[in-house]
Amino acid sequence: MTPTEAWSAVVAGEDAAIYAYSVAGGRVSGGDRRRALSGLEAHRRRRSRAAAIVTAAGGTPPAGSPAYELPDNVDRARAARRVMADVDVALVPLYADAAAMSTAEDRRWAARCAADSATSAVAWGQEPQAFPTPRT
Amino acid sequence: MSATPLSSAPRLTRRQGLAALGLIGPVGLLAACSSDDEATPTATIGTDPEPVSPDATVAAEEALLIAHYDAVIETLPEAQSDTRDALAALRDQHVAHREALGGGGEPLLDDLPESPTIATLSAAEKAASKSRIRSCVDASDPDLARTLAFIAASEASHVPALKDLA
Repeated sequence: MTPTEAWSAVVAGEDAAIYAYSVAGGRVSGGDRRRALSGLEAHRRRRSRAAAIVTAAGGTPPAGSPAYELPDNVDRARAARRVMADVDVALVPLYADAAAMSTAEDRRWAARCAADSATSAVAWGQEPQAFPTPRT
Repeated sequence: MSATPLSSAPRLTRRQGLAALGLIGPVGLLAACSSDDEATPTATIGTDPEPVSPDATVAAEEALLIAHYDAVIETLPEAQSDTRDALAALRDQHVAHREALGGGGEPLLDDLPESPTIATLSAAEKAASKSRIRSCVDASDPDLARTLAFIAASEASHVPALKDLA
């Protein structure tokens, strides 16, 4: 794995998260809605910064898919929270790889994003894990 | 009444799923060495003649967290078995962290708060996550950096879990 590959995977993961938050965030209300909206903004910012890192390294950031597979029952609030937890926790290993493949500020930022993603997943109801990774 | 259990976690994209599964995939050691040599931190810890490796330092911090959890669990009555069990599960994750760092490292038990509570645990987890991020930045080995990023993530995620128990 090269740094460009690691950061491109982050871009793809953030794209999926943006899509999931856009859809699932509309299915929750109250405090969850507010958290989903700020989470959506955070995912957009992170996608943008990760893409800039890929570009700075001479790579081309991957284009997002127009749509992603989501479970059928995403319209239920509980399932919506779970979808957001799932995309968040899926980002943790991607950011951990990006941390391994980077140095200095990029690495610091990758580690911070890993921490924020894992925290968000647990806040959405996922069980904490020693090494946060997606459920299979 | 029960929501469909979503036994299959949503695969958002095939690519994404595959990438996520590759967390322990091949480490691009060559790539890592050649990428940013000038920016690689020189991991010198002062002028200590016998520098402690980051693993042992962090392992000792993990041991302290384990002792912190044990102390809090001890203060809880048997009747609060759910809370005790939940704390024990989080504690065990620190055992896994410590093992991933090669074990070792003696905890500085004097650093435990006088009255350990879930609130002091939460503060300790926050501080630990920040400390892991610093160690991650300083790590000269990419594998260690990856492990520390995972541990930072786990510890940060313990904070909302503890909030639910407070």
